[in-house]
Amino acid sequence: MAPALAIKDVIRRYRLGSENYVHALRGVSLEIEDGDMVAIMGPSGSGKSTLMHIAGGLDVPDSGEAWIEDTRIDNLGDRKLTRLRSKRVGFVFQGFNLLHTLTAQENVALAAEYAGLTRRQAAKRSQELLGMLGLSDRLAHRPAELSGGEQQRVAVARALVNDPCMLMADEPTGNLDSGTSAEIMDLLAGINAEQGMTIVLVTHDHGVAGRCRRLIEMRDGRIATDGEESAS
Amino acid sequence: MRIFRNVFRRKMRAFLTIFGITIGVLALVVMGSVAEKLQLLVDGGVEYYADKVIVTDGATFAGFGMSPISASLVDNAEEIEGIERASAIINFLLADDVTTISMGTPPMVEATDFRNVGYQNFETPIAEGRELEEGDEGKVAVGADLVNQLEAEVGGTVEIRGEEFEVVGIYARTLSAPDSTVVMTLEDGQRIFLETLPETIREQIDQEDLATSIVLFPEESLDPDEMVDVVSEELGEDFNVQGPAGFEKFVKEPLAIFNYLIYTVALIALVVGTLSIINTMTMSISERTREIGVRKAIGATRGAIMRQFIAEAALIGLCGGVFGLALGAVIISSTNASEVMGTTQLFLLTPRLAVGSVVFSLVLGVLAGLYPAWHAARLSPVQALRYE
Repeated sequence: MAPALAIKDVIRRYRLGSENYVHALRGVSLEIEDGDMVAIMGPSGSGKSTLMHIAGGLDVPDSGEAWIEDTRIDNLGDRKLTRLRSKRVGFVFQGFNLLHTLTAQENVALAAEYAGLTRRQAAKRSQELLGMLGLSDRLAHRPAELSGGEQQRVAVARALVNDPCMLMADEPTGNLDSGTSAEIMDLLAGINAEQGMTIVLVTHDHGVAGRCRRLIEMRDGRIATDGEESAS
Repeated sequence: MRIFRNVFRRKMRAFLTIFGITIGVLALVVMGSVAEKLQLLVDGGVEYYADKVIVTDGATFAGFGMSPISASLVDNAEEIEGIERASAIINFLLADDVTTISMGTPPMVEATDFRNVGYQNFETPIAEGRELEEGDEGKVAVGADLVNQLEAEVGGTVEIRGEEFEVVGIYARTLSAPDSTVVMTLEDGQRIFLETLPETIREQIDQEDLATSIVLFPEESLDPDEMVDVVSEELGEDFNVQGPAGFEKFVKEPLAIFNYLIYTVALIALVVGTLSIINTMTMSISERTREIGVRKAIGATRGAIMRQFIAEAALIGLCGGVFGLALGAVIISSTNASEVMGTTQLFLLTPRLAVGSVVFSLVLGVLAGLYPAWHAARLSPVQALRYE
C-alpha cells in the first residue's frame, strides 16, 4: 500500500528580486505512513511550513514529486489541486483562520459546501461534527464570541468535515495557553488513535512534538533529523 | 444573508458606495421620466397626425399653425380627389402672456367646426359631462391637466382670455397634448383669436372666414403622406402642407437629441458610481486577502471566489438601484403633485424605466465586480495565507 504521503527530492525556491532567490526547500525526501502522527520542527525559515504546504496541495514544488496515497499532486492544475484540498486534506492553522462574519456552524459548513454538499446537508454534517467536539451550544456563535480553544476546535471540525485522509496542522497550539494546548493535542491524538487519521503538524513546542510518534527536524531547507520521538 | 454580512462589515464604506450608485440611478430615473413623458406626448402627436394632412399658412412651420388662414379653404380642399373631408380649426395659446416655459406642450385652445367628428382616429374620451357639440357657443370642454388651473367643474364657468365660458365636459387623462387643451366652437375661437392679431392685420380679415389650420382627411385607402404633394399642387404655393411623416420628422429628431443628452448625463453619474464599486471591492479584497487564502485552502475553487465577490458587488449595485428608484419615485410624485411646475405633469415613471434602472444598476454592479473578483480568484493560497 502506498504511503499516506510521499515527497521525493522536492526543491522549492521563492523569487525575491529579479535575480535573487530564497531556497525554502533544497531537496527534501520523505514518506509518511498511513495513520501516523508526525511533528515537523525547526527554526523559522527552515522550510517546515513550505514542506507542509506542498504536502497538502497548497503549493507546488519547482522540482521533485509529491504524492498523496497514489495520486501525484505536484503536477496537478489549479482545479484538481483545489478539489484535492477540499476532499482529501484538512487544514488547521495557527491563527485559527475562521471567517469572522460566519458563525461556528457556518464556518464548518462552508468547507462542506465547497466540497459540493447542499447547504442543508452541510448544515447537518457540521452540527453533528461540532456536537462531537463538544460545541453543540456554540453553533450560532461568531468566532469573536468563542475562546481560543473553542475557535481551534471549530477549525478542527472544519478540517474534518469532508472526511479527509490527512490532517495538516500549522502551529495548531501557537496561539493557545498550555492548558488549552494540551486540550487540542488530546483532541488531535484522539482523532489519530480512534479514526486512524494521518496527522502532520508543524510546531515550535517540544511538548506538542512529544505527543507525536515521529519527529522530523528541518534546518536550512533540508531534513536534519528524522526519527521516533523519544518522550522528552 | 452571508453576502449581506460581508458587504456591510464596513458599514460606512458600504453606505457611501451604495449612495454613489443611488445618485446615478436617481439621475437616470428622474431624467428618464422626463424622456418617457415627452415620448408619450410625441406618440400621442404621431397618432393624432397619422390619418391627416394639415394645411397651414406658408409662413408657419410643421403643422403648428398659429397664423391666420382662410376657413373657406375647407371647400376647396374637399374638391380635391382623394380628400374625403376637411375641417377648419383655430389653435392659440390659452394664456395671453407666456410667462412660464414649460416642458412638453403649453396649454392651448383648440376651436373646431366639428366637421372632423367621426373622421379622425384620435378621439379624447370624456371623463365627466359630455362632448362639446355644434352650436355650443359660449361653452367649452377642458383637458385633464387644466382642471385645477382653471378651477373647472362641469356646469361651472371658466375664464378664458377675459371671457366666461360654461364647462360642459372634462376630458379623461391621455398623458399627451389633449390634457392641456381647452376645446371650444370655431365661432368663439374666431372672435377671441381675432382680438389677438395686430390691428393692421385684423382690418383685412373676415372674422367668419378665420382659421389657423385646415385638417384634411384623405380616403381611408390612401396614404396621407402621398396626398401631401397632391394637396400642395391643388391649393398652390402659399400654404404649408404636412402629412404624418412631416410631424414625425419635426419632433422625433429633437426628441432623439434630447434623450441622448439626458441619458448621457445620467450615464456619467452611473459610471462614477460604478468606479466607486470597483474601488470598494478592490479595497475590500485586499483587506480580506487572508480570508481568500483560507477559503482556497479549505476547498474554494476560483469560480467560487469569483462568484462570491461578484455577488457582493452586485448586491451593492442592486441596493443602489433600489434606493435610487425609491428616492426618484418620491421626488417625481411630489414634484408632479406640486403646483410649482405648472399644470402639465413633467415626469412619467414608467414600469419599464423603473425595472430597467434597477436591472441596469445590478448589471453595473456585476461588471464592476468582475476585475476585483478575478484578481481575488487568482491569488495564490500560500501567499494569501501569509498576508498580514
